[in-house]
Amino acid sequence: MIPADLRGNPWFHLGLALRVAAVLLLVPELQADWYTPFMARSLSAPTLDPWTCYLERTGELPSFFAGPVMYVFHAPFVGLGMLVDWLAGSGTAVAQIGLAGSLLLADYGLLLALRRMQAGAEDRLLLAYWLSPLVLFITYWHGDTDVVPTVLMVLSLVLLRENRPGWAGLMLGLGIGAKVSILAILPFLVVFLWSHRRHRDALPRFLLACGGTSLALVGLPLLLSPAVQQMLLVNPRLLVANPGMVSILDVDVMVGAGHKLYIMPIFYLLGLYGAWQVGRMNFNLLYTVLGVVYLVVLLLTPAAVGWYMWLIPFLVAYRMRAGRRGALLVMAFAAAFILHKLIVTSLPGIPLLGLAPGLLPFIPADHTSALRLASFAFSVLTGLGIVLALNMLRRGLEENDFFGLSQRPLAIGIAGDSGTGKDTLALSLAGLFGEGAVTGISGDDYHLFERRGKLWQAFTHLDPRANDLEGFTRDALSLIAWRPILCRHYDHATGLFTPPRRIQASDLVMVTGLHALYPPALRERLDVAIYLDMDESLRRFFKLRRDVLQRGHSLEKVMASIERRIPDFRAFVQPQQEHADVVFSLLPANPEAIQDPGYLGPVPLRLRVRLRSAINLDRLARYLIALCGAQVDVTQAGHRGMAELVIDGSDVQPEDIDLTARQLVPELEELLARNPAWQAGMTGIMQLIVLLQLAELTPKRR
Amino acid sequence: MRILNANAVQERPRAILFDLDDTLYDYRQPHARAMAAVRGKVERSLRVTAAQFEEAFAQARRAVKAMLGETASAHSRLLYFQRMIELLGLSSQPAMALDLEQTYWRTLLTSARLNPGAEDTLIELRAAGLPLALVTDLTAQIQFRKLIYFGIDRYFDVVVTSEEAGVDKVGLRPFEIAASKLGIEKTDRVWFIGDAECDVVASKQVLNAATFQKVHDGSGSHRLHEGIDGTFHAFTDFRDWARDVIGQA
Repeated sequence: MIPADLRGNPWFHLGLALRVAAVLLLVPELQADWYTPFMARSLSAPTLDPWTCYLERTGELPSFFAGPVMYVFHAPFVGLGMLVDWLAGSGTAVAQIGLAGSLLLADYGLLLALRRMQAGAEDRLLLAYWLSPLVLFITYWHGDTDVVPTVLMVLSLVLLRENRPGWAGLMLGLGIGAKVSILAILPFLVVFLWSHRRHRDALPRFLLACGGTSLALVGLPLLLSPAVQQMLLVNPRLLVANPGMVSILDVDVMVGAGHKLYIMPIFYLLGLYGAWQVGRMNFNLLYTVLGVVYLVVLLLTPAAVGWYMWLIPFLVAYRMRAGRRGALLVMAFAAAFILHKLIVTSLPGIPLLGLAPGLLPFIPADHTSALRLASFAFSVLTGLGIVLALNMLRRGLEENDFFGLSQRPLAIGIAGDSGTGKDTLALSLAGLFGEGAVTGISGDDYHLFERRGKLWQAFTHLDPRANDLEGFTRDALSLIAWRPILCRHYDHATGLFTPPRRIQASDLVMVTGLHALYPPALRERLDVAIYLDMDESLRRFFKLRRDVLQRGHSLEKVMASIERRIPDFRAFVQPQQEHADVVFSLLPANPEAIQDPGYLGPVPLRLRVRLRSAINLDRLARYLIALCGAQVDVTQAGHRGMAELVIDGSDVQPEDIDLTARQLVPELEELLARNPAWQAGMTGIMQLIVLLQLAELTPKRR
Repeated sequence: MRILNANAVQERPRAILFDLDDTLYDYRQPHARAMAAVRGKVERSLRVTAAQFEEAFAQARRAVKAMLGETASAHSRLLYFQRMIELLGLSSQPAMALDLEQTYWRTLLTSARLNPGAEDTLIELRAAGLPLALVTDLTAQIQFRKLIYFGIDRYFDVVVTSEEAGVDKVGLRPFEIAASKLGIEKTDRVWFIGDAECDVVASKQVLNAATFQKVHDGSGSHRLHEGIDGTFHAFTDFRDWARDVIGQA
């Protein structure tokens, strides 16, 4: 039940001792006046409809809606306490301790859930959460039960992150079943899941599980319990209110003609719109957005106390990353919060001292001074809250929009002669990012003439003048600016162009073609520029083998066509190497084998990789050797100052590449499809290297 | 950190020897995950139940260990899986045995993490000018992979596997090889840090090492090995304690 590292930790024991003392010694007014009596009265004659039972026994409508999950969670503890009370004749004292004890359990559950959410920072979590005065004040001093739905909300987020959307939905549904107002998070999660293609397919399962659970848990009481129906008739806000009628509509402005403008819903909608605008978020950014929205909404609900509990997981997430200054800011905010709430809320009872709950010791008797003092404290709280919200947002965006993805798509350019594998590489990269996440344009679609065009006698495809490079550049830049394009398609089977079709922009733009790195305006906008090369003797060998041996063309004709392309290749295609971040070249592993054009056996290959900027070269080489079983030669400053790797890894398994990528660029995982399609052998190694370059270069270029 | 024999550990050592599995990283949970991945694969491809798998695997492991004794190959997952497939009524199936072995190690590595503070400890000990050696059972191929995967290969001056020694640590030879590679005399004080009792006994017998037992968190049984000179739960505790002793140089 208690992890070993906690068992030996004095801070954990200190927090636990404080909690146990609070449970035994304090009787918060909320619990004494609302929760415990409701639980005790309805449990004294257990039924499936505790609300109606309460109505029948007391003749009063319950004045808050404790959701069925909350009720079922507290029931065994309170019931046990009632039994002891009955035996000892102690009134409801032990039942009250039972209720508070159940909150302690939920509180510990939240600590465990947060440990999972913030894996790797478990020790700091004890200070940030377990010893947080905010947590102790809300749950044990003020007596709010919001820690129960908060655990369920955090579990839902953790499960979502662990790719278990069904379970995540179930947890959130249970949270809504504990407290309906937790529903406020749902639209944000929908926006988050929808905006990120990696998560989009999880949305239906999540919604189905969440909707089904919450409908069953909230819908059934609404349909079947006469007391709940009456409650709603009297005052529908009871369904989402905390005891004492803290309302989300506390702050309003009169706008004339008898109309009020409620401020909080406007800010909530603005927050939702903001989340939509941020677009693709990672989980840390989601936590930031949720934290900021909750914070602002709560500041606009001055009487709220318990609802601040929902904010705490996100404050903790912020504190874990924000260093000393962030921690100080959170502490100042917590202090201001507690000061304000001490003034406006009543003391808990302390039975040992004979003190009943409900005293308001810190408020002056004079009404005007009281109001002034409370307003002053609230203003300080609001000021600090705004500073905290701004800080969270700034840091969240800075840290988590690492790749600037909310600004524009990633762009990869792949240039190289025909037959070097541009499309194979582009397709394999697309497989990493997932269906729908990738869009692309191909230089072939921008040839000026159809295959039968007479001008091909004068030009080769390699000549820029035979291609509409201006249109190619314009369209590529449009896609990179997230604008759709209209583009005709060159059909290799017929040699004709199709009518233009619309191509949508997407998260990753792949620009391939003989001249993909030729136009300077285009090059500038690429995150990674790749040039594909092939050893000249190998290219000739493959072409001769295909055209002469398989297609039956004459050797002379094939050789002539090869020779004809060479000057243009050297003039227009090859120089693009200079602009590439990565140059991949396929080399024959055994050059002697391809001396004989009639050789029909397998041709083992090696991959030469030249990298302009390579920080992780040594790690990459070591992982390729150790985890992928490849043979690697490294030259730190080889051809024109570029680092060079020669890799023999034709039998590398996709799973090994996956393992290596997770080690080398864990931060990229958020970008990739849930199950990236890693390839075996050389293609897989090329995928890996392109990703490494993306991780290294993208942040520098934005 | 608990010191049981202060005399043995009061002077700065000439070198420090480490065990790898279950000392520098926690082996049990990654192993359980790796076995679950293998079991899943076997259940799907051979249509056997989990119980059949467990039984065949346990039997295969016993058979291989009985056949090979205390050698590196006696720990070989490849041989276990080959034998297990045979016990399940198939022929040797080299491709499948290899696939299961790779699945096992890949999953194990993916879920294994260095114990907190372990790398910092290695860095500090090295910075203090102490030669470090890794003495470990199992084949060199996988142990080297682990070292590189964890990124700690650079901290060790000497690595000795039981494959290289021809016998496991319990057969003493790996410690003798480590001593000879480190150029250590019998009179030199060395420390050994590990988790298994047989390692403690062997390192004492060969090198008269001062021995530290890494105690597992959450294992429930904190049984201390006989003759152990110190124990610790967290590497950070060991590091903090060792600073004083090593600083006395």
